[in-house]
Amino acid sequence: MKLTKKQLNFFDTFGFLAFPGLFLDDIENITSAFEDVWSRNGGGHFGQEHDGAQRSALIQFIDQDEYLSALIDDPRIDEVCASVLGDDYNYTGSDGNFYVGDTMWHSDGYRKSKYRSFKMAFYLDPVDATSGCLRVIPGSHKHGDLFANSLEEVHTARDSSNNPSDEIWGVDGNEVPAVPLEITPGDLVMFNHQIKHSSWGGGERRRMFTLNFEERYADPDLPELRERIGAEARFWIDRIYGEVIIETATASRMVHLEQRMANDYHMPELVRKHQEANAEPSRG
Amino acid sequence: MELANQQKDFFQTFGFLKFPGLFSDDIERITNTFERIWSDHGGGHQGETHDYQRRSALLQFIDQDEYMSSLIDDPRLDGMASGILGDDYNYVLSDGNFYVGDTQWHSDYRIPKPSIKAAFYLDEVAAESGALRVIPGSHMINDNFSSTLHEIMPSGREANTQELLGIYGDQVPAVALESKPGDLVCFDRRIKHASFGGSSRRRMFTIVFEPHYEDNELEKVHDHIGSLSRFWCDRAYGEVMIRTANPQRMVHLEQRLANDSHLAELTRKARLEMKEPARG
Repeated sequence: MKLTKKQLNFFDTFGFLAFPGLFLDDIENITSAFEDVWSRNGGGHFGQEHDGAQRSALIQFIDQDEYLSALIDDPRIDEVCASVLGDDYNYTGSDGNFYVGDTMWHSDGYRKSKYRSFKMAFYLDPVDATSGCLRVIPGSHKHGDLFANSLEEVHTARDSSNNPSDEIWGVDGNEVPAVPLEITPGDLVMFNHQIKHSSWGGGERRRMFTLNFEERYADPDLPELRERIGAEARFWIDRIYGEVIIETATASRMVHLEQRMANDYHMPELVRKHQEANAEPSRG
Repeated sequence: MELANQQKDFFQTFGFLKFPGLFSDDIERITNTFERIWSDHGGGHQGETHDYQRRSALLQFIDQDEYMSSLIDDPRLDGMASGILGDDYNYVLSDGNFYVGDTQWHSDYRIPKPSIKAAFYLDEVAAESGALRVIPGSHMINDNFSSTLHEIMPSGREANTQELLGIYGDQVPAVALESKPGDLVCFDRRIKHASFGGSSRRRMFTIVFEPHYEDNELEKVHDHIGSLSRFWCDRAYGEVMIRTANPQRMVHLEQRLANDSHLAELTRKARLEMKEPARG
């Protein structure tokens, strides 16, 4: 499913795209597989039951299941990725989540980079503006713009404030001007990693998983790629992909795995250090 | 009413501010005066009855009534304007309107200096019934985001949202500023804005402010004032606005009054070339 020029323009301009009902026929199988993966991993974060108080996150999520791994081969995913990132794009990873309550305003990575990247999100429960759907600030993905740079403060202030948007603009997080992307299971949304996003009013076991993609790096920039891969060590993963997604990979899937696999050899040492310093893997 | 620093930052970042209920106690008198001014001018555009087909607009709107003129002296408006533009801001103009249906995406202008439009909606409006929709951040005209939007929705021409983005105007990602009578909505005139689904006699009037210009920028003031000729205005302000001005108000009128000497001649020419004054 190649994106049209108009869809590409929309994504480039506003930083997100929604595909209502694109996986409607598959959502039952997808949801069952989602629950199975969590069951095989104790039902919540780090092998414990989900406690309804904190987000549970599981990295290399689709990587653990043959059916879910094959989602990245599906033309509805693969061709969309190729449209935006080129045919040789990299799959960068997946997380499965039980979200709890609000997620404050942030970008997944607001930085100068010549390599574009984005996230695709499957929401497995219906969500609207006040029950935990994704909210985005259109245009905030354009790194270097005065507007996007101004918004970054609300992200960086998270470490020192419980309500950064109130301190900066005098409004609560759920009052920040934004567009809610209301979802019915079976919809697919994708958004640029740099865009400011959040969610408000969600329940205590909001099921969602993501797939992430980036442009392939040029050889001179491989140190930057290795640095990016190294950041994943906080999730306590020794290799950049899970076993199943590699074992079941066809030649065409391997195109999207091989660059990161060839540059993940430093991860075990970084993971070891993280394990010494932390009680559990990161939740996000 | 002094704006908090957070409100100023909000306006600078997103390009608008909303004050729910700020004029609730006054809205009945404001609305009655609005209707009376229109009655005094035939009820619609250019002295004709409003035809529900096209927007009716009346320039120098608040300028025609002593009470409405005094709105710019009110601390609620004066505080907002001076908080964003400085104590010596200029009052620019006011228009009264009966809007009809949709207003397509546009910005009022694109120049480096900010200018604020304060809008009073006299009918309740929601996202699908004519509320102002804005694209936050689109007022930052040097940004890639703003420039891209301006290519898609250039001022003065039809927006190309279908051709370039594959969506109708009412599907453009934006924020709807739903409004009840008594609310005040202010926005940077460079922001991309629109409205969709409104009725055919949507009552709204605006009051526009700009910063005081430096002496070496007076040519720009001169040009901006000249553009009022399309509305067939002979002076920068209406007679009542000037006549009832106290010294404090005059601070906000004097620069444009001192630079409107060319307007009457331009308007004389415009009257020869146009069948009616512009509607917007």
